[in-house]
Amino acid sequence: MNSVKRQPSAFKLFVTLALAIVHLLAGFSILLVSSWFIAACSIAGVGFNYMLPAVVIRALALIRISSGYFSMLVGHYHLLSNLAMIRLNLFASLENKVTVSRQSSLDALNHQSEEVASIWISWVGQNAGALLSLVCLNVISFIFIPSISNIIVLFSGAFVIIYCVLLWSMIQSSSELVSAKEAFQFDMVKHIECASLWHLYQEYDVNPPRLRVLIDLEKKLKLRVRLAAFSLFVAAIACISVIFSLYSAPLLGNPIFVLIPITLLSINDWLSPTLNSLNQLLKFKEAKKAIDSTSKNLSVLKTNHASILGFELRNFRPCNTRMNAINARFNSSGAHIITGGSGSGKSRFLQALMGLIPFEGNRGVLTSNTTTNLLSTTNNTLLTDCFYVEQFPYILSDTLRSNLLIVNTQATENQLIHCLNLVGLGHLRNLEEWLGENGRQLSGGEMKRIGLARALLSKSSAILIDEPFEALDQSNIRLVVKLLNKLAMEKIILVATHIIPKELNIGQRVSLDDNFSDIQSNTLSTGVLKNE
Amino acid sequence: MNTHATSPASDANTWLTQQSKQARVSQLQVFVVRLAQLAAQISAFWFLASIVHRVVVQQQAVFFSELSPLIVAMLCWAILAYLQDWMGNRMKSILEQSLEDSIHQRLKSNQVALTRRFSSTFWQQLFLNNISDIGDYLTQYSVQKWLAGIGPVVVLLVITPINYVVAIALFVTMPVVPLFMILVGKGAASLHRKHFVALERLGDMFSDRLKALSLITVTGQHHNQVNRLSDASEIVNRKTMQVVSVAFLSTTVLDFFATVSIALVAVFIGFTMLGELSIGPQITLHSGLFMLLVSPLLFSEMRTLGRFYHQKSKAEAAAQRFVDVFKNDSIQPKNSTFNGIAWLNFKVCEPSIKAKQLCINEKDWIYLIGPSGSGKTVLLEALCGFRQASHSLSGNVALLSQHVALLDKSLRNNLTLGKLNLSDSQLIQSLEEVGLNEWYTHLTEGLDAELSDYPALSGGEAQRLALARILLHNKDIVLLDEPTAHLTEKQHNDLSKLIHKKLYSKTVIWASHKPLPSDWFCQSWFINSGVIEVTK
Repeated sequence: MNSVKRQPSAFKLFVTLALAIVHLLAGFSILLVSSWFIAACSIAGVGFNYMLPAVVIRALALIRISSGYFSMLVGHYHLLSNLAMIRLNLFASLENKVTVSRQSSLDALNHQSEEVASIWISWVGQNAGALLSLVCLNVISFIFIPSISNIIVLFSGAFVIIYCVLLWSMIQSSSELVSAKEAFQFDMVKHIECASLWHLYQEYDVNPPRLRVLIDLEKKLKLRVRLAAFSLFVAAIACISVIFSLYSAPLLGNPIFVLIPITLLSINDWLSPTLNSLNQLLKFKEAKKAIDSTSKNLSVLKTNHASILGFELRNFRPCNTRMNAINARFNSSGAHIITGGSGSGKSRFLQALMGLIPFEGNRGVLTSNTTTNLLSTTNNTLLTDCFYVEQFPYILSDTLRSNLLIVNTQATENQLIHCLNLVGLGHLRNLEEWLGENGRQLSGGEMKRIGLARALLSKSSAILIDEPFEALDQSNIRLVVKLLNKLAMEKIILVATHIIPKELNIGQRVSLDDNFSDIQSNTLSTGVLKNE
Repeated sequence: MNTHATSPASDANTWLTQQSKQARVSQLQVFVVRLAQLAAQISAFWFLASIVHRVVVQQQAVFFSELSPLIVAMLCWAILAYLQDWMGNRMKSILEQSLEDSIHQRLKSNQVALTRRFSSTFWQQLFLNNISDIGDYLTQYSVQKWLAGIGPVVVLLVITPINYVVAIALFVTMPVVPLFMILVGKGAASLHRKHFVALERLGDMFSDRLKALSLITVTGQHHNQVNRLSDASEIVNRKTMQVVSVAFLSTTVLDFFATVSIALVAVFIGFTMLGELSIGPQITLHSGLFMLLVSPLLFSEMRTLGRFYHQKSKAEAAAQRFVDVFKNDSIQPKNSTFNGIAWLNFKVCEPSIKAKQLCINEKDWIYLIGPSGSGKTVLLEALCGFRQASHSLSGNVALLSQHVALLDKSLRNNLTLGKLNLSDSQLIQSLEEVGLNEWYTHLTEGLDAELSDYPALSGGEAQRLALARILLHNKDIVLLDEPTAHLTEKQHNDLSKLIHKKLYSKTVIWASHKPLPSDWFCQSWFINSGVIEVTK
């Protein structure tokens, strides 16, 4: 565990926030200084120094423009590095934590990490700017126009109350929204999975999952933000009315007082957006929770580096299955077959043997030298001298070379090419070719054979292969059988399959199927129709 | 069937335009309210400037009655702002519901033929994200586009009678802004194209490696992959920064003109009032302050449009998905009883499958064979009426496929689908008939057992349950789409015999890769390269 947890850079953050706030304040003050300037000019006597304010206005304009560009630039840079950091930390924290989560929750992590990373720009920067503006407004009114400063304080109080009430009420419903969304997602997956049943209903599922609840909840949240913005606006209108009707007498001829009504009238530009940004805060909260729980809720697998000469299973079976407990011994004497129909638990059996998922019973590993050297391994222990080829071998979004080197970083160029030729993938000549989602798409059969090439390259003593013959035609099945027979002479090979090719040199054979006692089983021998 | 001469991207745009047209009336309503809001805002500025003038220049106290126009204008502004937001949201939810309905409509007509074309993630995203992407685009972006066009005109129309010099100065900047934005946009786009492949490939490496976690763990490559990810994100971030450093200029151009115009207008007004400048008409604090407050509006709608800009690309991507889903024509269901057919020139539209003549008599057993990928499933779907075809089976059809769908509900519900009203003994008997009685005795809650509470059924058991379901629903025609594909030879034999025994008196079309006794069938259909050959 030598990976260092990456820390956010405080300096970058400071510059980001400072620039964002300068941008906001400059924009705000340019309007205020300009209006004061005009008001002052309108009543200016002799000796009014008009050049200085004019210069200040232009300077503010330049500050605003440049701080705008650089705050976007620095902000984006900070966002990107923050995002990279969050993702790397998350990924690093998942070492030896294998999860069988749905793909949707993995996709969600992508999105959630963006929401966590963007909080500084979308919420903190904006709210800090608005808060600072509000403080400035109070200070200015206190220093220059003390007669109406109490009204400004009242307005600020109103804002704080509206803000807090809104925040409180939104926190109440945000988790409701998240769970409604999850429920919909779940129902939708189930609904689509059961599409083959729809025709048995009258025409279609009577009660398909609807977005109704979700839309209503979102509507409710939007209504609250809208009401809050409206109340804030009304508060500003009330303050303007009170200032003019009650306090105009002492302010006659005072140009600086112009600032207050103009500030209050433009709250839609600087203060109301903070109410909307609460949405961002809530999303951040939920996303952070999801990310934190991702790595926390998974137990770490221990690793066992013992070299494997064989397996000795006693009453072995993966947890939560109905399969019969298995007693068997596997060593390097031909490919061992785990057979069973779909749903019988072949994949789970191999995964449990590898140590990826928990098992019941006893998993003994024969280690070096003598057969008496039996190592009983505990649950949640990954055997590193063992390689599991998935039913649908995962093709990394990376080069062909990296896709092969992942099993054996020391493999030479010649070895890679040799292996590709052996599995019948000689047509993939370019090792630098990009595979995966944004590169060359491989067919199901090609993916299977990439998995097999990985098995050939692997230095592990035990190879567990899940359904290697599915999606292959007869000639490729023969090719794979030949390779497996050869491989089985030097390594321990376990093959989970429901197809058993004739030429396969079979060692142990384990069936995971339950037997149905009610139907006599004799083969369908009478006049078999051949196809293909 | 229409031929697709146009590119898919333009299909998506056509669809989006069509949606836009349908939403036009509500969009116009929102637009009118937004315009009224703009008018209220401008008049509030006018009254405010007049009162400030009175207090600062004329130095007369203000009475409440004199304030009333300002208060009324401000309240109108606030109420209209509330109203437009409310209308926009209402319109959005109506639009979203109709989109949702149309997807369900399409699912209802094409069923499995449609669902199996896309992953379950696709469907989730379609409902949860894409619908609201289209909604946002139609309610916000489209309306804002009009406002960005009309806003500057309104501002110039208001300022011109007050001071033509300011109006002309502002007018001159107008064409410069889009010009610069287009130039900058082009630069950013070409930079993006340059880095496109790297950004695409390395950008989604994080989610890719999350999915590969099991492989990475098995191979013990976690540390190497962390380094790989770290390098990739460094490259992506560097390239992204190069692209955005140009792209952000576009926003800055707007910001530049918006800010500079305020600064210059302010200085011009101040200097004119001081008498330093004497171009154009006289300016009072009233007219000067008013112009100062109104001139930022010249660019503000355009800036809002810039904020909504991402909605456009999102909507275009979403539209592409809707076009994919809605590509095939919907099919009207027919209902009548089945008593044999004889079709001439049978044809499935896409992918094309043809037959000169197809005859099915009541209680016929038909063996459907053909190499994988030849279209056995497509043919069965077309026969069910889920695909566009010259003929489809009328009457009540049941389809049994490779993968059995099980509801997350009780066993009873899984058998009756909440539709049939059958007694417990009838249901239990049906389970016995398919050989699930032993399994059934393990369920402590009997028929009310939730299937998700028990270990998953094996493939053979699930197919038996599906068979029981079909027997209970009493359909005349049963189409079997390789129900034994994922089973071992023994299971295949057992299940095939059971199916034969139970469906003997029904019309059956059975697609299978695995051998079946020829004496079960009265005819066999062999599909190859889009043609069905019938042998009796």
